[in-house]
Amino acid sequence: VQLSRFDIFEDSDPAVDDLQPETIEGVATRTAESRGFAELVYRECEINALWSLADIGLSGAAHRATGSWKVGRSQLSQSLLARLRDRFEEAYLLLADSSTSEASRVLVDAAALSSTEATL
Amino acid sequence: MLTTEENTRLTQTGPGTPMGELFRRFWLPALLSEEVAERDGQAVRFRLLSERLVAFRDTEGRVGILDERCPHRHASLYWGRNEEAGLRCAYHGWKFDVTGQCLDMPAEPDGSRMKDAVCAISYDTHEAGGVVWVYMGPKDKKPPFPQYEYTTLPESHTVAHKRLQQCNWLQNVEGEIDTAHLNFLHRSFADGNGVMPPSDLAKKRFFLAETDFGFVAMARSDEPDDQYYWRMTPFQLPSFTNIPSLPTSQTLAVPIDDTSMYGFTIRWDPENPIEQKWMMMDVDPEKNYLPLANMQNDYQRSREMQLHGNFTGIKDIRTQDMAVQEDQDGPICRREEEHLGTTDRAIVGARRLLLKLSEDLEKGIDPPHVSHPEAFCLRSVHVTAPRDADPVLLWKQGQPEVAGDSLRVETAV
Repeated sequence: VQLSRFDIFEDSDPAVDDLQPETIEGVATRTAESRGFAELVYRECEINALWSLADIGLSGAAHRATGSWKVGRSQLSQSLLARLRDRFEEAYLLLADSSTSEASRVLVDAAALSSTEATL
Repeated sequence: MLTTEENTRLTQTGPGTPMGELFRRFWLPALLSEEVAERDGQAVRFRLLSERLVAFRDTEGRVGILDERCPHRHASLYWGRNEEAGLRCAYHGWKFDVTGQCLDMPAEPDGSRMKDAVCAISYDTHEAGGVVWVYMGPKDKKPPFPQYEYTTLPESHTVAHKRLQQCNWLQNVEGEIDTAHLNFLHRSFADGNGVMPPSDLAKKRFFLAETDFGFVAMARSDEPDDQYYWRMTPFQLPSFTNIPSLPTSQTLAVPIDDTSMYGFTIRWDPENPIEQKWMMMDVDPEKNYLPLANMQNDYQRSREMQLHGNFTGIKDIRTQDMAVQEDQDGPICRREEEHLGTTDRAIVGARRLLLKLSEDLEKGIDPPHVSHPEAFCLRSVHVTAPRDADPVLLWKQGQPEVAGDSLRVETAV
């Protein structure tokens, strides 16, 4: 077995702390390139973080008169948050099935959806 | 995030459930040896994986574990007499040896050979490290016993402990492998804790490496002088963890049912006899090993200790763990509603590995890990080293000399 530190010890430390299109696209790109147990787990964690942001935002938006929630730099509507959350769940299920290309495509779709609402 | 179906799959371990079947392919800790110390002593009753069982040590010192019900009228064998190499049911006198073979059926006519065809349900046992282990899977799939390091040491170098924990087994396991909680839940205001990583939580990085025993969860934090602190925690299938500590230790979660578990802790010192003081918490053996500090008394939380002693005001590390683990939505966490972040890698790794193995088993694929007993001879690692040190090498240098090369590193494509 050839030792490869990269597979386990990725040097980059991508922040997944908002629902900006570029953030989601970053996860999509890494997902498409991921192989093996450790990398797939790392990607699942990033998709989890996206799902968490959308789900918490959705709960928050439901309790506001504006019907929206601020995630990072964006004020996202309840309906968009719901659609994003569904996409992230779909990507999660595909990744769990090791279908990285399909999961990546779903995330690219989610990034396009996210870009439809203006950045503050 | 998990789906409801995934959470159900992971948390149910009764007979016929996917995770229950996976558990049954591994040797599991059943009892402390001291619970059945006496030859021909009273039988002990307990539950594992939602099955009601009895254990007894026979005249020759062998330990048997049987279904609690006598196959005749389902009376409990707990009330039986343990004598002359077998456990005799108190109701009608049917007698069984440690293999479950019926030795005597007094009410049957003279000359009857019915007893030769009757067996109680029995499970194979193995004693090691002060623990009675049980294999509850298909007889023809029984794996070799794992070569845990403490099983190679004199008895005086090992101490085993057991506690009742009132939550699903997975809540405990996820806490054991989750290094990120140490800086908060176990933060001590005093020096000399001895097991706490020295760095700030935000500077930690988390990694996983798949192995022949499960995986290693690694946490790395920045240290002065161009060094890293590495904390490497092996997760061993199906539910065991070696937590970095002195002396080295293994914690083993075994389901009683879906809302309670036994937590075994085995500590060992490869070089010297070990002192009993390393027992982690006080428990009441007369109350099924219920810890004295438990949810009914708020884990004996003290405001004074919270002000001046530690973060929680709860006395010891294991009790602090129990306080949070025993109530995550109650005894079974609704993982479909939780919100994970990017650093929950070890938790996600354990779930993903267990889900895959349970799905494979349903397809007829046995867990390959049980074929590598040598891979389970291992220790945790916690070390400060130069930043350019190869972590794979650091892991291997921390292992017992007799250990196999169990770290499977994925090949770059």
